[in-house]
Amino acid sequence: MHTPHQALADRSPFKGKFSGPSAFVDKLQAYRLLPFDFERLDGDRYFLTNMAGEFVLASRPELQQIVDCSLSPVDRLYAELKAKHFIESGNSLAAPELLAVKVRTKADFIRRFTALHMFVVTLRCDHSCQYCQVSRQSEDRIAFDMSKDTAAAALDFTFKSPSPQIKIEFQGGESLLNFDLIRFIVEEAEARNSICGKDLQFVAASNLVPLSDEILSFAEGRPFYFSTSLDGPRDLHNRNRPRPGGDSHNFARTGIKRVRDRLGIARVSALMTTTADSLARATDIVDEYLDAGFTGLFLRPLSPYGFAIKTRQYYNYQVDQWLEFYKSALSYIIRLNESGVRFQEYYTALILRKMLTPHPTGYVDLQNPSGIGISAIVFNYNGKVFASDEARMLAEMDDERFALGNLTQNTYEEIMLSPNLVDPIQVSVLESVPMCSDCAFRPYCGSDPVFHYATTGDFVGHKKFSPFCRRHMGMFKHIIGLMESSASTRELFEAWAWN
Amino acid sequence: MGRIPRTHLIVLIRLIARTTPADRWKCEILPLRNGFAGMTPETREHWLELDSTVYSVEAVAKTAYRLADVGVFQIEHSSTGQLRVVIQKCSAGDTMECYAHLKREFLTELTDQLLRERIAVQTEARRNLILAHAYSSSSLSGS
Amino acid sequence: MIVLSAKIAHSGVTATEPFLARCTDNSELPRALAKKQFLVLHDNSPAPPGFLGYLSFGQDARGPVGSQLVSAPVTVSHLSEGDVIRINPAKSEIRVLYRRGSNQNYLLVTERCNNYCVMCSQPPKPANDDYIMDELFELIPLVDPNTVELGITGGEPTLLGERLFSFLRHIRCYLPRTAVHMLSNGRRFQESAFASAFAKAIPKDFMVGIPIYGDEANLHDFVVQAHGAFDETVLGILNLKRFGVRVEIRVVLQKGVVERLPEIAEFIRRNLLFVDRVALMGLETIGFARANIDQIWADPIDYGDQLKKAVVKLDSARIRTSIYNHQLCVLPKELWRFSVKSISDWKNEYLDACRVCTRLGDCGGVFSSSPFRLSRGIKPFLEPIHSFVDNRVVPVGVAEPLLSDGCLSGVPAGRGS
Repeated sequence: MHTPHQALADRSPFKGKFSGPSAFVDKLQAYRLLPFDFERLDGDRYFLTNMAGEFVLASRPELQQIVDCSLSPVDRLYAELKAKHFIESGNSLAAPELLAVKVRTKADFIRRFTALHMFVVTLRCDHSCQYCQVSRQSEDRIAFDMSKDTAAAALDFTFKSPSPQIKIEFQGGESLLNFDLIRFIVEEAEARNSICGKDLQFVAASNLVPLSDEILSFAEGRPFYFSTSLDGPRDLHNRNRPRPGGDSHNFARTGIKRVRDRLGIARVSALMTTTADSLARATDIVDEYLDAGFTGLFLRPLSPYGFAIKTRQYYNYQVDQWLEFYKSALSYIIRLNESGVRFQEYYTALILRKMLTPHPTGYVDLQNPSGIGISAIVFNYNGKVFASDEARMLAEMDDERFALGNLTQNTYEEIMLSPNLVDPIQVSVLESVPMCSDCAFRPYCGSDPVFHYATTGDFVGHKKFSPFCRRHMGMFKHIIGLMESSASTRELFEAWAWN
Repeated sequence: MGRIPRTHLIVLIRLIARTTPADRWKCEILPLRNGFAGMTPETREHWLELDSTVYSVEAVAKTAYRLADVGVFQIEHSSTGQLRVVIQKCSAGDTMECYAHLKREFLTELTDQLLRERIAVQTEARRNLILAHAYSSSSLSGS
Repeated sequence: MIVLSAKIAHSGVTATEPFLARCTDNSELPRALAKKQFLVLHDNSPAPPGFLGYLSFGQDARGPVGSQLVSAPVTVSHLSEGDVIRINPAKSEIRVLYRRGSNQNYLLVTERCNNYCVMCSQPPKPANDDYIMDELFELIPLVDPNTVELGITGGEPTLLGERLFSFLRHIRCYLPRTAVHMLSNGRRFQESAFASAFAKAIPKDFMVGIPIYGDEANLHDFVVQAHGAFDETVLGILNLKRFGVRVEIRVVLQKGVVERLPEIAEFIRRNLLFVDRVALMGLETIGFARANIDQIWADPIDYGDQLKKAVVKLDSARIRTSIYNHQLCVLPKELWRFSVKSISDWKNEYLDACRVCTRLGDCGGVFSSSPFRLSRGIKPFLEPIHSFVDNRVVPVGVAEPLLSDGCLSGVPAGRGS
């Protein structure tokens, strides 16, 4: 296809005082490089990214020409590289200025600071999910409930966050078993927020078994959402999530319907946890979500239960199996969209938002610098503060590496500036980590110091042996391949990224 | 509005200073004296000899790091001051072909690393300018 | 097509220099007001004494003996209450400067420009033309304060510097409820101090329309015939947004640009996401556009694909997008809701073929200059329509917030501290 310059050159020259397009072409070798990284994708294709995550594909010889400053100014690639700020020419500061704006936008999640505050209101639960890391307590032991004083202290902490958006998420155990405390927290938070004026939202993570009319009434008229687990069709879900009396699946499905009927379709969402049993059931799981009336799902990675398993082969094998699962589920979802069904895969959409838009994202597990503390924080039932939910799980296995303090003993500053928080964030910043520091996928990736610590004893690990790296590289390359090979998939992915 | 803790400021400063000290790359560089301590020359079958005026130690070390899942490499200086990469183990197998393939992979990746070095050198100033401006609230081209 | 200037005959006019006057058709105005206004006379309507002057059409000038009498052709008989005219007695000319009943009053503040666009509809003239602004300062107090919107255009208004700021403050004083839309190439706003001073002078309801013609400098600089223009324009836009000024990006759809339209849309949503609007404009074939028509003409039915791609990109990014100066018959149907019936009343026309079109009422027609070059695709719709087609710009709907861990953040950066 012609470049605009070629298109114009086809016409007769401009008359009189006008200069033709050829007067506005850069001279040879007159451009300078802007910072970028590259990775080999496959065969001869290379993937280049700039500091803001914009990308360009080029062949190895083209890449060489670009760096040698010998790329021809009338090459199509030349215009693309200029437009996407891989190269610059002239004397102005327009390119670095725009790049700085874009980098600042992507880093906005740091400035906004902690939005997600998880309150573990109880450890009581009636389920015994095979992947749960919490030492659940049976339903009658209220000694493992959060106290009002602790909750109040947690709210003090929460409202110290500068973030204009605050999401309070109730966790457990089964959070709804301590609904009285939830009610207290919500009402207290709303009272305080009448002064602060933040965008305040509540979410209850729940298996929906204890859902009652009283709870639904309370949720009505306020931004109170439910997030439940739906691992797949009945047999899969129930095998993952046993409970006395069985049929967790039925409770989940009827609970979803109850919330929808009473509060609205947007008020309940579902998350799936992937286990070894899920891996062969990709389309069944998607079908289950369709059947339950959802318009998307998040294909979560294999739950690394049993952090103690450290043999690398095991992890690679698991990652590769999960990638197959992911690819087949995604392929099915794309086919659904092509046939007119609107259904999104949220993990892919998240990555696409990073790749295709200037917007920042708030997903804790895929942030650089790490989202622990910066994006999310956990208040345990006993007042202990943790950097993330996984950090809490580590503590359940007697490793307090990411315990930040206690609400009753430590101030906000002591907790947020605890070395247990600052060190892992600082050390694992991707710009200063081997391999990540020049990886082209860095703008889309995140550091996960908790995961790497749990699996290697080190906040950083060796990325070549990191399941986290392997999984994400696999996803990035797959997503890029899909976009490059099909215009309709590219269009679909753009719609996902921007919505 | 609460105070913004210094946490994220510390993190931001770290972002600007990109450091990759050699010890974090976990490689060894040993001077070659009379042969190689503990090994006879005959057992060291597979190595690459690299012109140290062309290939920096860092580029070679980074390449070895990136190929850590397909081989074990030892980097040393030869008596003539060149860089030598000894392939101690090839994960794919023990045949001549496997080693030859691994050497080709190593050289391919090494060439890419050189390219990365060139880009980094050429764009260092711009990178710092962009980062410094991104994390401040003033405009580049004005008050 | 509404005529805005004509030759006149006059008698009793005392001034020798051109002067402005407000028109009225109310012959019963109290003297305090009548003495400042020209009474517009139609047919045999009464002409009582006490008015500044009397304006008749297509007949001999009439009015009280000894008054200032003007006779103009019927082509300007549309003049009515609230309109403002300039009478040039020495040249026997009348010109309409402001029409109260029009929704598109544009004030040209200078003909000087620092660009030289290949399709410029108002070719620049380098000479000093401060007298234009002098007259506009006089005009503003005569404009009806209920005017919804005024436009400022040129040439390049920012070349007036401090005088522009004074003019904007003048408008702000006399027309506090009027929205102002200014066209500019944006280049001078790359100076922070200038942009800041500008932001302080503008009326409350204000927007700058700034053209972008490429996703990188070479294409844009070619279209505007000025090296370095693109970079300055982009930096100017950034500064304007830093100081809280609303910005609309305009793209004229011509050869060279339309081929690159999806990439331009991509550039805008990746780098300038925080702009308030994007306007995609059909080519007006006057001025330089006419001289260069062979080089720059692009037929809309040939670029429907690029246009669709570009609009989808902008719309998905929640940027308010409009298409101007395109007839419905040459636009893909999916884009009709972005199309604005925009050709100003004094510029538009319909072709004979259009008279039978069932969508005539929704379509903006063509520029009166257009018979010079028209799309091959213009033809009337003959099927009856069953639904009301709303051609006004429709605000884009806002999607539900995500409930999962990913959260949406639409905050644009670069807005200062």
